[in-house]
Amino acid sequence: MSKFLQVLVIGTIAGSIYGFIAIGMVLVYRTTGVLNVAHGGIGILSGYVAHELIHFRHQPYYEGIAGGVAIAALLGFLFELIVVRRLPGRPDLQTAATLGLYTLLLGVVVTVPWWTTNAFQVLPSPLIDKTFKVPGSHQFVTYDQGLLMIALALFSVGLYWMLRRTRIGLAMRAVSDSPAAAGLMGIKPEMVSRALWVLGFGLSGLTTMLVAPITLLDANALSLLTLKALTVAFLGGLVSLPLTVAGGLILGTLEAFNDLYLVHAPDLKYAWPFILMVLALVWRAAEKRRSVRDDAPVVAAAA
Amino acid sequence: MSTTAEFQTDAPPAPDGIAVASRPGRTVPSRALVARTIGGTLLAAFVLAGPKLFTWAGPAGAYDFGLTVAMLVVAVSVLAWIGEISLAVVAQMGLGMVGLSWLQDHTSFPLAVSLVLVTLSSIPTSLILGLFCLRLRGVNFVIASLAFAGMTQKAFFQKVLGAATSLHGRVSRPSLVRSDGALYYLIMFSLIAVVIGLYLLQRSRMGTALASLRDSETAFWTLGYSPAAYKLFVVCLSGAIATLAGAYYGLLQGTVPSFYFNPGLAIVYFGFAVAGGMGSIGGALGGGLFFGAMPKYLEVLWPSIYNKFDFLFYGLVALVIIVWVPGGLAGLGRRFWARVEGRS
Repeated sequence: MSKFLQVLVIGTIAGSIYGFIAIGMVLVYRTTGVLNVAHGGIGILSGYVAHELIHFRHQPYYEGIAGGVAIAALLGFLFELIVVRRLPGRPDLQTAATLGLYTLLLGVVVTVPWWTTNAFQVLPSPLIDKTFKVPGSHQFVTYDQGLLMIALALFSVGLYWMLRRTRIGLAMRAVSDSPAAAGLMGIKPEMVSRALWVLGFGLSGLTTMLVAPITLLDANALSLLTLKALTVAFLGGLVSLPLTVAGGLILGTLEAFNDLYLVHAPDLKYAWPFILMVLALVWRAAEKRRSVRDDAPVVAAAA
Repeated sequence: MSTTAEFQTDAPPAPDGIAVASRPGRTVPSRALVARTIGGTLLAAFVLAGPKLFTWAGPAGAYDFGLTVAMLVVAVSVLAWIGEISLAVVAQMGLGMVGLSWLQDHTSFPLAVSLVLVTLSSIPTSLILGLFCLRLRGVNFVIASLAFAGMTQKAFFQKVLGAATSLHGRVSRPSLVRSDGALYYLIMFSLIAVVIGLYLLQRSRMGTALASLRDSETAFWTLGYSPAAYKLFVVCLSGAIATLAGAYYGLLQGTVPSFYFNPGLAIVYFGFAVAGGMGSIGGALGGGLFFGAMPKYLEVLWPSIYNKFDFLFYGLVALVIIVWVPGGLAGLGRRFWARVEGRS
């Protein structure tokens, strides 16, 4: 029982990391149709900026974190101004531009020699080394991991609520569906688009501030997490925040299960994202068939 | 809002076979004829001279690497014929290298036979990927291909090749292509064969069918064609080209680090394809050669400056081309050539 609880705890922590990265991508995709592949790259740069401020320039922790997130938000502002405005109505090219941005940002990170010399650096956190024991198991959870889980719950609920209940959220969805109609309703598409990109990029920066104290501040490790988060976003159909969070938790739990129970097949761990995608496809195909079957009598009756 | 963003291509639609046949007597203006003759001659001279033109800037291997990247970018670009993007090409490239290494270790086939077998060996993996292509479109397929590549790299390459530089994945060069200069001609002529093959395919009935499949899958299906068969064919074709590029990469490097095949690199190569002009064979060649070879020369010319700036260079140039050069390098080339021929 204790081992199973351990799987759940480790899985929830890993799943929270994937889920938190993925909800940022889902937010941008759902409201713009652009798959922001640079999400991880933006986070990596802002993480290193925060590390520079806190570790090398000895600034207070919260100022360093704010500096990192501010850089990410500024990048979002500039990306919207320079790229998105020049490629209106072309989400494919905007997606390609995020690929270019991802490469560019990784390039920026490796050009600062002292940022990447130490492969085992951790973004400092005031909560580091503080842990609590999960009741009923021998598993300890750090405060940083607990904070990430709480933040995931708050942000996923908050973003879900924002997109459905707030003026800015509804405006984002309206602009995404029809910029012209949104404009006629008094919404300024440019302002909404700018706010969205600033929010999306800022969220990416914040993600790294929460994730990097748990993992390492390492460009390769964070890139790999982003790739897994993309799979998680796929599980949510790239539009559903609740399904994305659930997908992250399922993937994390399966990986933890693999580590603790399937010790003779450690490489299977890397296949789980792919297996989950196959299962998601099968499930969606079954759903589609069911909906077609359910609609059939209605169509027949109408005819 | 659509749940998928489909990647549109900048390639011109393939000409209709009947339309081409109905204008056999089409006269080419004299200025265009002269331009084409001079252009063709210069291109032929450039191909034959090859890396010798750039020996002042770096070793022949740099140019060979550019050609290998160009072949891989062509593989990425071919999938755009059906409006899809795969980020599994680097994984397929790795399979080519591993396949060639295995054949050299276990058989004594000549290089030509090994290359053919390696290329054919790509079909099973391409079919697995192709099954996803049948169910998914746009970014959903991109993510599926990325997951496939991630699984292949972690569960296969690192297992077969080891965690870092491989001692198992050695590829030796036969005496015929021992030097980088000789290898250049082998890769170049393979690339020319691939390009001519693709060009003919684009202009055949099948090319026309593929263009119509990209435009409307429903109409394609209604007309009695099988989208599944055509899609699987294109995925297999792209996989075969990527695998062949991998075999050449193996010949060039001799030993291959397993971390080279990480899916993130596929993102970089996709950036090259977009910068070249998605769907355009010429653009893919130009983009791949430019982004593949140029950094290698810069590394030699300014090692202290360049070694740290390769990703910066890739990202910046790709971003500038995507945003400011519509149609990528292919669009730029088309506009330039239209001016040379006096069509604009």
